[in-house]
Amino acid sequence: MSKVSLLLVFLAGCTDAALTREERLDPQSCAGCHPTTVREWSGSMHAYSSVDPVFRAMNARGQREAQLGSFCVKCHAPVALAEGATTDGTNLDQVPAHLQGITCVFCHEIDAVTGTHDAALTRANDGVMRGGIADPFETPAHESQYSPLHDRKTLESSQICGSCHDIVTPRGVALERGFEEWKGSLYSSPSSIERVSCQGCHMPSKDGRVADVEGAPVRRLKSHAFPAVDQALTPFPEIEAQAALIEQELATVLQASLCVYPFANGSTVAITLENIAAGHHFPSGASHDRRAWLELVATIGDRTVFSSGVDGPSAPDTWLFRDHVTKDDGTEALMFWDVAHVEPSILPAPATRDPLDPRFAATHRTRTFSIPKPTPEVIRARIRLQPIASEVLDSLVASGDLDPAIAARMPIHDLRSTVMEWRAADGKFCAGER
Amino acid sequence: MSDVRLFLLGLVSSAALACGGTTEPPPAVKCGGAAADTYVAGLAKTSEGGKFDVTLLDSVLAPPDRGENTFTLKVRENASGTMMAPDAIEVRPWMPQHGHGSTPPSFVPVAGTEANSSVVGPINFFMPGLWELRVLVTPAGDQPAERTVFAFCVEG
Repeated sequence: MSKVSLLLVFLAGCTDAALTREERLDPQSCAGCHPTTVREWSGSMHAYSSVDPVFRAMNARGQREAQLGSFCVKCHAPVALAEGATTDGTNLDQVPAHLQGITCVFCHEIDAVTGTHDAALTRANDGVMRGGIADPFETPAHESQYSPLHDRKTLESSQICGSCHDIVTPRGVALERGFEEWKGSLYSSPSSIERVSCQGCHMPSKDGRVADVEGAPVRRLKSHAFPAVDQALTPFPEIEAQAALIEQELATVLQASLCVYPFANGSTVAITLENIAAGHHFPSGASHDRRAWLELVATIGDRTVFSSGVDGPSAPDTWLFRDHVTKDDGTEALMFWDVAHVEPSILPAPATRDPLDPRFAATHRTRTFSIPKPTPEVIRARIRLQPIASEVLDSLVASGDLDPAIAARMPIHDLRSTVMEWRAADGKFCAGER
Repeated sequence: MSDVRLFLLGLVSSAALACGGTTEPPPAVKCGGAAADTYVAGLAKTSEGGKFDVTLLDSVLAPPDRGENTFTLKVRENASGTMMAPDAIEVRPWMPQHGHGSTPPSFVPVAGTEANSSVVGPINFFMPGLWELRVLVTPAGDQPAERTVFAFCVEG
């Protein structure tokens, strides 16, 4: 949809008539009464999920190589699939815009979750919009109903997210495990004071009116931007706002320290990382495609005397966080349908605050680097994150499924909380020490 | 309450604040089983060692919420009545139930536009839950810093 037509829809105002089924299927019908929410959603990866050229490239190749059928689109284009506009996603170019992505009607008509992965949920398709508000404001536009599955304050609400965000491949490999990771963390325990649902973090709220309707009360209005790691690589609404939200989201995920200890023949640099805020492991989701790594550079004057990770995540001895995935023959798998074995190398979410519990140590990872004399003057470190690895993108380009210009747009994020600088002249063991 | 009584109440409150007095803090609220302060502009506390009165003049966001918050403080040394300069103050955000802070872990305020005020932020309360604003004030001379803790329940 063009920016002009999008603007016209936003200006169209709130309806006082019942929406038809066709209208309910179109997110822009919702924008009349819920302009803020639809604007946020329009820039989200939920809106982009079936437009995303990396998804389309992977799906197209997967259909050729593994006959995936509806495996991908049941989460990436669920309304298009339900409406019969696609069966396998190879014709998404021809699917109308209002059926693309994970739309309002898909989430808000979900009435049950029947499993833990691969879109195990049911959509009532009854025109009743379900949400987390206990006493919904009556509107002629649609029926409204409270649903604990949509209430960010219930742990149960995580099931609705988990049902699509955990993926077990057609050959039975538990590949994406964000929901499972959360279930093993402190955040999922009903007795934990730290309990928080997926929506509790990924849908922050603020005071506001859910609908632009006269008399509508001020509530806690949930953001529908869903920032996490992935972002649009092609022109898309709210692209700059989404990028800023992602940077902000990533800025506080890890806690890091950089300490330098002198010894007789040089110095030991210790980097410690703790996953304090992801709520699941880090990285998560498509951890087999993601690459997070430490870049460390030690200098004397302009001269680099030691470095690690500066050539990217594939360089030997780089401290790398990802799922290592292999095929049946033990070689590296780049496409998910080839994966036979998963070996996680990631930062777990906290499962305990008890330092004596073995799980505590797993959430605090330290790596040391030995640097021979002379002691560097400056040591800089940061954790970098590439949402989809270059080798995966390169493979999709090589198979003719992805435009190389789009592959080149894949960002590399520097996690703000991990950007550290130690200076010998400060006379401290650790960077940032006061 | 009549307009006249409201006016008189306002007058008395203003006089008390102008004379350096502190109003009774609003009642604490529960946050995940722990006690949190109810935010009001002018919320005042005495430091744990009793040396300082710390007043939270203002918060943007108000009440403190998930995201970036900026606080305006005034700190008075009780013995001398001296108002403390920003460089004597350090603010550390902390989630006591989670055992971590924010990024960066500590903040040094800058002078605010109001006389003797210090402005600190933006401080990112990035998760829902109980956030403490730990204000450390270092007295003149070789004395240890004293801590004052404001605690807010961030709904997010």
